[in-house]
Amino acid sequence: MSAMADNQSRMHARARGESAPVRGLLPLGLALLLWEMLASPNSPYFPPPLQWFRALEALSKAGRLWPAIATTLTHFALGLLINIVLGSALGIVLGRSQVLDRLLGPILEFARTMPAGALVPVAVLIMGYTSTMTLAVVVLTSFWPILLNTRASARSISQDRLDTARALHLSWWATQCKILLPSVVPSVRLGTQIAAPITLIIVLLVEMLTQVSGVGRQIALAQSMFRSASVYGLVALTGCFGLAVNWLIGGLGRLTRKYDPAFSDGVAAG
Amino acid sequence: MNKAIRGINLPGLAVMALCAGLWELYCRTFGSGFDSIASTYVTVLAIKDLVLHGPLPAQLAHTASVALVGWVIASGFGFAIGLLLGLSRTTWIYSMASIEVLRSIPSISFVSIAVLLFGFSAMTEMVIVVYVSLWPMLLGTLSGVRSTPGRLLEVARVFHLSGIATFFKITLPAALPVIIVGLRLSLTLSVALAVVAEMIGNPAGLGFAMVSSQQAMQPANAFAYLLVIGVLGWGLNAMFAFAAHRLDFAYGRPS
Repeated sequence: MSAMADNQSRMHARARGESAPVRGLLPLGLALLLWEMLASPNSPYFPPPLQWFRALEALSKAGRLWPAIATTLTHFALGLLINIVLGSALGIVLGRSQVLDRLLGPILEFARTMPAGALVPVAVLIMGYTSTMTLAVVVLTSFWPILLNTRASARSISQDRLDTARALHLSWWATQCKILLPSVVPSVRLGTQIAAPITLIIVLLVEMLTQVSGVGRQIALAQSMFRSASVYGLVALTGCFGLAVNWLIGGLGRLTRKYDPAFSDGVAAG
Repeated sequence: MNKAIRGINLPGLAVMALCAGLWELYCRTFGSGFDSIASTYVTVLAIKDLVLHGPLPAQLAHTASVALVGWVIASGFGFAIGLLLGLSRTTWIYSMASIEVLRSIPSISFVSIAVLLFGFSAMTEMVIVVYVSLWPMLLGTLSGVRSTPGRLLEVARVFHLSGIATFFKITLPAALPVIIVGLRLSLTLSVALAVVAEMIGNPAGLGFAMVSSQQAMQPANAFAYLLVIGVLGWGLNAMFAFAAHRLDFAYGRPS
């Protein structure tokens, strides 16, 4: 009986998506340690981890590291903000209006499958090498999870809630604020959780392709000069950004989850 | 047949055509002074030219084949690793955190490491495509296998199914929908990364052609390649959606 209960609690833990135990860091730590001990410090292909930090330190002394980080994080924050506003607004409109949804369907479907990198050269032709261009490409390629999730939930708002609004004679504006917006908040959050890592990736991608500014540019520069330790160091740095983003959106999820009994985990994009 | 015609979204296509027309109009009026943009008409002419007399078919074949081959390899590896992590709890405990750390590194950063290791070569492109499109499949398989409903597993125990029979009759079919989502995300990523890798790491295919048209200030060609890449991504996605739909029917789950 207790075995069965144990089994069941394990099932529940699985269904909730338990977090992985810290013991799992063992293989990674071991690999890095072996790397540090076995690789020669001047290896052109596999410089040992301590060299990565020295390279980053040198970059920071040259005054190139912190401005790059600031630029990248600014692009990321602005991009994500625009993603949330634009994605949820468009999602609500398309979810509530079947006519608009049908009219814009094909063009959105086509734009959605457009690979991010392909947009960059054309965006450069139209807007030049500017921050506006970076943000345009970032938003156009990473606001889809928010748009699609919001559209789905705006479509399926229960008739009861809408009837309530009508019974209370709420104005159009009050209905939007008191019924519609609260109903789509969980899906906007889910969309944001999926979109945030993608936003970071696209920001770095645009910076690498255009080589104008940011951490992406530093990576591309270091690679073109075969400074392998700098490349590894900067890649590890972007890994820290990625971890921070995941941690932040995880915290956001926990913070707002208690207001939302119908929380469900989605399949996050890689 | 009638149903197929009704399935086509005519008003939506009309809006698409309208946008193309407006762009043409803009290019001929306000935008006529800019020589870095190409109108719809000029873009279509450029596509025709590139197809008939240019290198476009060969470049398209290169990018599409790299994306597809990379996708198949990545799906195989992703499926295997996902299964291993999903079925063996010990493996999961002792490696999942490492995998999550690795996954947090934005995949695009690895492009430069791949160029560092393999130079500007087809190998670089393939490695990038496989590495990046591995993740959705791995995570899809993992979460699909791990979230097999407990009741189904109890059914297997009641019927005294062997481990292999449980896997093929219960776990795999239950995980299939999530795995299919993973496959689809992998395919989208493999096309996107093939193009990016060609822009940065391997001078071949559509991505390289597009960047060189932009740098040579040939907007018509750049716009043409953008359209072709868009159609490639959309087409592969549509083909996959069709296949997945058929597969779902085969499993008796018409969606």
